[in-house]
Amino acid sequence: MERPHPDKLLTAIQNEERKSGRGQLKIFLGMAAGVGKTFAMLQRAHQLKASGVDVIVGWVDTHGRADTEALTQGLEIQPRLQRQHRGVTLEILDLDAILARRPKAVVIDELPHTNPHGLGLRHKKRYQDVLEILENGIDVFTALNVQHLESRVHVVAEITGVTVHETVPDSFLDEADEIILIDLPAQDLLQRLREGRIYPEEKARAAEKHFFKKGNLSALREMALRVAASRADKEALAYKTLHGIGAVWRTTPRLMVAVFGSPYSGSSIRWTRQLAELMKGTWIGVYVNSGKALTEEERGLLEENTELVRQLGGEFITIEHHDFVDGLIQVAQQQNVTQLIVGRSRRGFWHNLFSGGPTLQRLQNRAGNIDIYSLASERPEAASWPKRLPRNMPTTSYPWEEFGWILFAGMMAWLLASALHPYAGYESIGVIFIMTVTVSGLFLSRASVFALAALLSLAHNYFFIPPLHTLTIGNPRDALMFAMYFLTAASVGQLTSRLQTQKRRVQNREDRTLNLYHLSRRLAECQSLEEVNRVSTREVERLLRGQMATVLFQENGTPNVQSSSAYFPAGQELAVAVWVKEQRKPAGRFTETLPGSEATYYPIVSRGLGLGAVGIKLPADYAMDFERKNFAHAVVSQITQAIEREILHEGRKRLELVGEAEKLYRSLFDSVSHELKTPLTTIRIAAQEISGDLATQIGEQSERLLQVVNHLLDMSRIESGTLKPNLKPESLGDVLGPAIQAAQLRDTEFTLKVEDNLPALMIDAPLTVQALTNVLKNAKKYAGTTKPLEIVVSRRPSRRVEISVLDSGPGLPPDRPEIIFNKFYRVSPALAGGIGLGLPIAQGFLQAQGGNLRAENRKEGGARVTLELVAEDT
Amino acid sequence: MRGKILVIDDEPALRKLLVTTLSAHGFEVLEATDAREGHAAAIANRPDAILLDLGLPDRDGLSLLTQLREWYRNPILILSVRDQEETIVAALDKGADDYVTKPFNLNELIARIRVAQKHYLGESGIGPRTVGNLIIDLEKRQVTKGGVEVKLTSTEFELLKVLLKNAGKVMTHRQLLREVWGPNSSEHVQYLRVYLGHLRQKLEPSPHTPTLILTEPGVGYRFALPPPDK
Repeated sequence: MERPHPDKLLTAIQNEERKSGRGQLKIFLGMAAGVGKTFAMLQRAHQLKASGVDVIVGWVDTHGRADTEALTQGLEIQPRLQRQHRGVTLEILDLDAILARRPKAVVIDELPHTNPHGLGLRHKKRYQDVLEILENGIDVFTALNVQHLESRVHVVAEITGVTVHETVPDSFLDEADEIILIDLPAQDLLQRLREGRIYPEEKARAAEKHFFKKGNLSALREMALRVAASRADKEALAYKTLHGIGAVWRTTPRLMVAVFGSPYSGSSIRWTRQLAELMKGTWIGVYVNSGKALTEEERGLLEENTELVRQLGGEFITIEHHDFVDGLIQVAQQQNVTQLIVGRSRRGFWHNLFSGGPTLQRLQNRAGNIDIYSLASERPEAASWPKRLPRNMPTTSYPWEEFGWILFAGMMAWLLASALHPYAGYESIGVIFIMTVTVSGLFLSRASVFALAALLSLAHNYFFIPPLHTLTIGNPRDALMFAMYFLTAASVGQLTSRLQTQKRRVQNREDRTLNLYHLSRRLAECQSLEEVNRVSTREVERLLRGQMATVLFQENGTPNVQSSSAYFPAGQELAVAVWVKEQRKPAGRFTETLPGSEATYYPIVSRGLGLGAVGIKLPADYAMDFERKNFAHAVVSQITQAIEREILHEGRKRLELVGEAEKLYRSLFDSVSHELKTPLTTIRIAAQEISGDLATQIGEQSERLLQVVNHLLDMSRIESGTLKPNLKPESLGDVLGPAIQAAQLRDTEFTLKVEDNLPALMIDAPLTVQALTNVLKNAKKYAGTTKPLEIVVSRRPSRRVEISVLDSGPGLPPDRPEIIFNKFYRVSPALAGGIGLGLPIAQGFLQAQGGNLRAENRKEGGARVTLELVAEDT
Repeated sequence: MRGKILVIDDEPALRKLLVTTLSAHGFEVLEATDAREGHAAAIANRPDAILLDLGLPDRDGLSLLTQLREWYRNPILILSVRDQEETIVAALDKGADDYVTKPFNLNELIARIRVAQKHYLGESGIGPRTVGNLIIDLEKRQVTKGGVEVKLTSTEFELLKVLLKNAGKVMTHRQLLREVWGPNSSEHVQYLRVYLGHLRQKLEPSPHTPTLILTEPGVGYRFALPPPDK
């Protein structure tokens, strides 16, 4: 295990020590005025006071807000210091009085406040007062809006157009022992503003026009959340450093949001995702299926919300549990959830299943160390939501085939009873009926069981209880017996039926889980894309009774359909697949997009990029419901993941192959280069060291050979595609100087004209120098230098700088000057040396770094060869 | 006497040639064919300079360089082929004094060896220097061009000083940055380009085709030595 660095440890311990003798600092952080920071602080103060803590109010401005004003009642308020300054009475926080009073805790509002100037006060800013109070061992509650944080000031100015002057340094937050985020949806804050609960009326109207715009408030709210979240990060880090937990104990936050078939769920889902992003954690959405029937509307909303979870990148889990709270907690514990988010609508109900308070209470009691956020959900934009939902509407139609079974079971029971009647007497025969009803509970729905119980009771009465063949009962004893038989049959039957339903549901879930598990194992064993396709086609057939096809798109957009079943998407169906790939969202049958298609298409996404789609064609009469949809979704997501994995794997293999080839090329190139140049070096040096005509000849020819070798090697670099320019800003002198030197141009052999204030060039210097050298050598060779070459450097639009080399030689072939860029082309083969690669190489080197090489004839005779270079972005 | 030179190169023909020619110029030349042998020879003979080929058969030349630099202070010159700018820069930053590119010229090689030895022996001196029509007095912090004083900012002067002190020797971007701007500035290649441009503007006869502060493309800068006195 990695131990913390000693220095870090020391700082952490010092922090801890420093804090232990000090008062505790609690900061109430909000997004704007009016969210209720002061209110919350005073509430806290009252709580403390009630539990016997000596708490006073050092500074509170109620801004005439009645509810806040009321809260100051019953608290000890430290009188403010009054000072005269230039004829104005100024009120000041009485720091010394508070220090002398020595309460356990003090409430000090308006943290960013700047103390009046010129009164000889100790501190310029109120937060400095607060620090001094803390140093004296007194706890402080204080409040701060996020826009006053120094690091946020300019962002706030950008968002709201208001520049905040009173600031608090960010490091002040580090001093806090606790930061309490006071959160309120923007809409509610605006409501408060309009109701005049924040500012008096005219000021409120002005505020709404400027600072209190909804967009502003949302941005500020996000900022406050962000500050609070990053603070939580730091706390965990500090704790870990001190306790030697290091990198091993990594708690990635895992958030969980409860999903309902309610329009309020959407905003809590979005909020959870945002929070998860801020906290760099993962998140899941959970639906607790308590077995209660849902209305059409709820079902629709539930599907919508489920889809939303998936679209926003969360995992979705359904759990069957009769109790909402227990179900949630069970999933939370299995999934190591750290934060649980439950939406709370402001109408006081979460959902029609439960009515507010008690559920939240129970959740909190059961949660252990899981944090619970109960979120004030915002109303959805289009409020088409009915006020109350009808309860328990039956959703599945009555299974009429059970009708036959009722008659059959009734008939069999009657036959058996008739056979036994002579021996057993009519009383005991009732037991047969009870048994029949009980057993039927194993197979029939609850309604059918009840119907059977009623039928058999009537039969018992009619055929066996005297007086026979009437529905009347003579004997009161018999009536009592009849009633008891009926009740027993009905309730036992009901119970059995319910147990059976539950068992079946659990069984179904287990089957599905088991199937998914097997599917994932089979897919994991696959070694290639074809195998994944084969296995998943078989599994889709087995698990969903459907057919599957995979559509993958090549880089140019051509679809490549693979299917080992009879289903082969084409035409309109293929268009759906294209849409799915582009939008990275499911579409087709059973979805909201293009539901008329014959199959459902799910996207294959890799690194945020749609690669293709998996199409699933289910039987025409397939009855899709929530559970089945979830299951299908789970199956397909396993399949798409396996496909994505194989695609990535194949990509990697290809890359490795390319890398190998490049390496091989490089080492071959190096060794060829070495083998050719070393002997030439030796020959050249040797030739220099001996004198005589022959030696000069050897020297010149080896020089020529060297030039050829260099050109061939350069050309090979270009053509192998392994040229990797290293672009850096360079000045013109860094290119011109070395090239002129390498081309051995004397001062008299060229003139230079350079435009002023050229930007830096964004080039690979060695390649560019080589290109320019080749061009200069070429000009010198073919045009001669009787008239000096002109080198003109000028700036061109769209980040270009051009270096033109103008000569007065014979010029280029007039019909097609660009022929000189053809390999091995030479204008006048008679001239010695060169194999016609100099200019093609120059062009290749320039094009590799985004530039180019052009050639044309000049009107006044001779050629102009121009290097186009990319300039630095200015 | 010119001193002992150790040539570490796997090419026998080149070694033989260097032995012959360098001996003719008064050096005593030792040979080694690979890194292992080279290191042993360096320890045994304590040469006055080492010529090191980067492409050795048994080990990377760079790693041998690092190993040598742990104890060996005398000049080390790199023999390289073209298209290896990154390797050259790495070698220079790891403590090589200079480099020549194969196919090199013997006079060039000898000049480089001499410059490196001179710097090693601390013979570069700080008295006033005359380069063309420039007179540079490092002690007085004064530069005149054709008799007229050239005003340099302190950064420009520092840069000139570092280049001049290492005259004839290539300096990588990183080395210059470290010397002029301090150890933590090696990322700011931009500064270097800008200040070097200013220097050229003020000192060079033609700033776009510098003859004083030369560019080694992709490697660094070299302050041109005045042509040999003879």
